[in-house]
Amino acid sequence: MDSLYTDSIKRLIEQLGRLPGIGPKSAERLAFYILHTSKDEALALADAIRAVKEQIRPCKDCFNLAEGPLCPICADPRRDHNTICVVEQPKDLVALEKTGLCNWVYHVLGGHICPLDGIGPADLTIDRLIERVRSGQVREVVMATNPTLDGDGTALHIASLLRGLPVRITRLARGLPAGSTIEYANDKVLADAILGRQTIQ
Amino acid sequence: MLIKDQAICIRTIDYAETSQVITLLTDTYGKIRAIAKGSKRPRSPFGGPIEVFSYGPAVILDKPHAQLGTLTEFQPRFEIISGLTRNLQAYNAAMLAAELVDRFTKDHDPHPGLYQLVLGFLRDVVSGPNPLPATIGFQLGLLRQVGMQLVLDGCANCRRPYSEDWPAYYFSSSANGLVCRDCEGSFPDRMMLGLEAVRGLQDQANLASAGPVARSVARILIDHITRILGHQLRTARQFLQGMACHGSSG
Ligand SMILES: [Zn+2]
Ligand SMILES: [Zn+2]
Repeated sequence: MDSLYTDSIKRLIEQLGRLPGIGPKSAERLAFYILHTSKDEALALADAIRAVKEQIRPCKDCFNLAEGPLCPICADPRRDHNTICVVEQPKDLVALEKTGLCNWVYHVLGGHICPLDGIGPADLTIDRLIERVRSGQVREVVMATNPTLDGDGTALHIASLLRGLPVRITRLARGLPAGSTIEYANDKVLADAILGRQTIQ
Repeated sequence: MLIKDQAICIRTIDYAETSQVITLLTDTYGKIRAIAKGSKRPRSPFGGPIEVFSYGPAVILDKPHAQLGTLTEFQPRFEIISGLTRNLQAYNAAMLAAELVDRFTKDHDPHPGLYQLVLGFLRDVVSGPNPLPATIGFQLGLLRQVGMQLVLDGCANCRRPYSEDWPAYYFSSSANGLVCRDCEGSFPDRMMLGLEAVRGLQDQANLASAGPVARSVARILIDHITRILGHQLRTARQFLQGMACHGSSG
């Protein structure tokens, strides 16, 4: 098959094939789409890729994606800067923001602690988070790491570093998703729901 | 061969987008690595991605010459994980234990009793107030399991039986245990131990209320194990740091 294509098409197929969820067939299809589309449209894609790689950098306060020194959330004075929600990845922040329920600011850790993989606290932005809490007017830190063993381990580690500071530490609730049924919930979800049961007001 | 056994997961690695390669310690067959196909799919056949310390009955299709088996069934229980996510010291100790088991065992090499040792240890650390004595007991038990038992009932060099009347007590990693005063000069790596530390090594129940001693014993064992393995443990730093923080706060 290799000899059927010129070098530049081969290279494009190869690059597209590296994208997640794109197999060789899809890569081929996308390459031909790009080949046949107008030059403007194709170069707009190339420019968009270049722009995110050249202009996006971490926000200096929260490590969210930003195009200037601060991300749009940190730069927004209407936000509650006294409450910091701690997430693993910018993707998690986006998911929380889509609910429209959050008016807090964030701190993006850049992953989670994973002792077995040799990923320790120093590999994340934890030091900077502690500095923010120490130096600012922060009243609450909301742990929104993933509800996995390592996500929870990361939250525990951070909570241990914040102990003694005048700040409330909370964690997102877990358990049965609204609209689901108990019959079909898995053991893990049920265990969380049982342990985290709440008083009906 | 179809292996049906109780198993605990001690390591997971993501494989492609929806699967994992997991390392299981089985009760009867030792350590087995297997692929858990589709474990990360929304409708995972294993009730979600498999996490370290989930345990329960497992069925593994294990082909003789393949590097990896295939996990076909696993009905994990989560109460250990659930306990670990509430206690940082227990979490750090459990991670250390998982790494130690992985490092000290070979695939398909049965260690009767090791599965129960691991599970018993994990239950102890999630239920007890102080995971340190249990962690020390686990490290000693693991060394025994893999044929590297420390000599603690006498001098590891001259075999003189241990007595609290010894004028001084030493531990030497290269001697593999306690060393008496007549022998200590032959072991440049020896360190002097207090009586409480010796008692704690011999019986971890003696460490329950001895915070600083338990910490020093834990550190000695980690150094010893690091020397045996010939390289640093990934999980040791966090375990030791957590221990130090715990100590300073009470
Ligand atoms: Zn920001
Ligand atoms: Zn001797």
